[in-house]
Amino acid sequence: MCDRIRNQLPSWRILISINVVLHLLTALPVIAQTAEERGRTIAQEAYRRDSGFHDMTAQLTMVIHRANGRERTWEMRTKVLEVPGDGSKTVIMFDSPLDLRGTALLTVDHRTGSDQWLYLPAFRRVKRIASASQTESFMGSEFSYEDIRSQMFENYRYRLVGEEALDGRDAFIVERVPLNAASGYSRQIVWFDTHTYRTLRVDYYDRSEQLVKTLTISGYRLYLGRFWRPDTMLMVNHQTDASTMLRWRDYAFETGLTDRDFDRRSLTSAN
Amino acid sequence: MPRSGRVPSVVLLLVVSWASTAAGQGWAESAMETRAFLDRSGRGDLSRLETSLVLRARYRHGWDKRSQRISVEAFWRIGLDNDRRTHLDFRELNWEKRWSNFELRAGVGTVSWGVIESASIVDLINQRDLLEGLDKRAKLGQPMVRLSWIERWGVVEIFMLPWFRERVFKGRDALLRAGVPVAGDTAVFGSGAGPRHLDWAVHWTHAVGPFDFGVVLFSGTNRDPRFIEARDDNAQTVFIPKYDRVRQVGTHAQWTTSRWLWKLETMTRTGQTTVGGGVEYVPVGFLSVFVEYLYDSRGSEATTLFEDDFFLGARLHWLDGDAGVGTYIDRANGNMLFTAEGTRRFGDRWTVTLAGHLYGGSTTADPPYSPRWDNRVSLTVRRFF
Repeated sequence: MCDRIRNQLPSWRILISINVVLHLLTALPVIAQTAEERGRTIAQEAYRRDSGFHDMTAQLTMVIHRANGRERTWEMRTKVLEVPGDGSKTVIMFDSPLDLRGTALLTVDHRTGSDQWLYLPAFRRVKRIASASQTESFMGSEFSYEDIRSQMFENYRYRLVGEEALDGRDAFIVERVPLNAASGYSRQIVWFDTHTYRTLRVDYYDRSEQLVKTLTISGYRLYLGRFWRPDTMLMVNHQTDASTMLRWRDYAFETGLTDRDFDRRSLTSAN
Repeated sequence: MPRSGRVPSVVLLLVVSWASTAAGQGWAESAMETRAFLDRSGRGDLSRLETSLVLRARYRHGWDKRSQRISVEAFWRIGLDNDRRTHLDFRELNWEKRWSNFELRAGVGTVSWGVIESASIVDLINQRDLLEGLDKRAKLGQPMVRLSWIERWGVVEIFMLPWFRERVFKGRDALLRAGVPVAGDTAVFGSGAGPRHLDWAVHWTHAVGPFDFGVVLFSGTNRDPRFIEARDDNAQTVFIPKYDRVRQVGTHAQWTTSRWLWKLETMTRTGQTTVGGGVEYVPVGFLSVFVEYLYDSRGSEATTLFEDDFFLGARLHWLDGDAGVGTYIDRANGNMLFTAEGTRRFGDRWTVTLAGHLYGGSTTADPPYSPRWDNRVSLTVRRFF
């Protein structure tokens, strides 16, 4: 009996040590992972899940509420082409107000910046325009070009600052700090759904560390079984009491668009 | 091509009704414009107040997986107190076919090139629509066959232009500085084929990094006529437009940085070199400031007022409209032309535009063949459908 135990001892010891090593292997990275690394991992996963759609088309309505009670509504269509490893190409076509009908804006986002061309039907000419500065308002709305531009993962430094439930959904709270000095923000606080990595809310802090805007994203639907897209984005400016509502509809993915649908001459016939 | 209101308006009405019912996409726009001239023309037959209606209808229909399309755009101006500005014109009436890197368009079309704010120098395919005014860049539809070849190294467009359209000299904007009337219907041509001479053009354009540029070659009938002094039936002195056959080379280039846009247009043809260039400064997204210089080697023989002029201008956009001002200053004689335009939107379907220009200086110092630029203000109310 003793012999048998003695004989089994080495294997029992081996088992324990294997177990310990295994635990160490799996547990160590978790222990060693800093808040920065976790934030980065979460943001990267959210970014990964959002991309890979190749191309997308959608319609959107933008309702601008001014603090003085005035309201303006813009109707637009958009198409997006992913450029793997570099950024994306986006065309926005205006449908209403009717005097802007046929106006089309092409934005080519690179890692390093972006180029823009504008087609004005009255002049029948595609103009290269000074690429809008990031802090500038998009069409008089509370969204700046920085807010609507495709969010490149590499353009921020990340840190996980907590986890909490937001409207009944478990969320990671990640702080992201823009690396570009031209950004209008000192930092942004992003709530990511812990299960689907959908962005639920973003708080924007200006350069003087004041909370300036809050973006709330809702009405998510799953497309092609892979891509979560919202139908409502509400941006509230806390400093001016103005707000802008973006309503999305008729999303379509992998529609077969090519570079030709995003070149300068395509703008003249975008409508 | 139709060029007066005598052409049955049924065509336009058909386009409008077709546009509103057919499966394609139709747009329409109507406008009422009143122009007031601040000084007398010196000719009794030209009024100081003119009101006219504008109808513009557009229809597009694509099929064959969007690779084929027809486009129609009809423009009709109807003078309410006289018919000097009345005309109907098809700016577009064409069929287009798209392959992977080729495009073919046949029919009537309008093509615009150029980068500078103060003038159109490199632009040449279409005749200007003078009835629409001097400060507007309205153009008459041009019959053409256009083959476009799209490659990584740029886009090459080859134009065959089988029919030339004469400039229509009627009303206030046909008056030249010399004060001699233009007999537009007695034009003479440098080519024996007259307006039927086959003109051609090749345009190459490309964008590399912050640079956008293009080169145009043209051989054919000059869209910009010279004027020959002659006598009419009553032995009065008139100017007869002469459309020479020319070969010309044009270039356009723009260098875009985040705040500064540097622009250049050049055009060289027999006996004439025209250059325009300058900079657009964009301090904030809704404001542009322009400083440009325009040069025409014809000097006092130029058919433009801007033969040696600086241009200072600004353009502003806001949520409900936009406005622009500009001043042309002749470098040699100090003559000035001040232009201003502002548009305000009301709701989703209405706009109101107030525009005008004022000319200041010594009229005898300007090229005699240049337009007179009579002082005016205009008010336009537009309704979109």
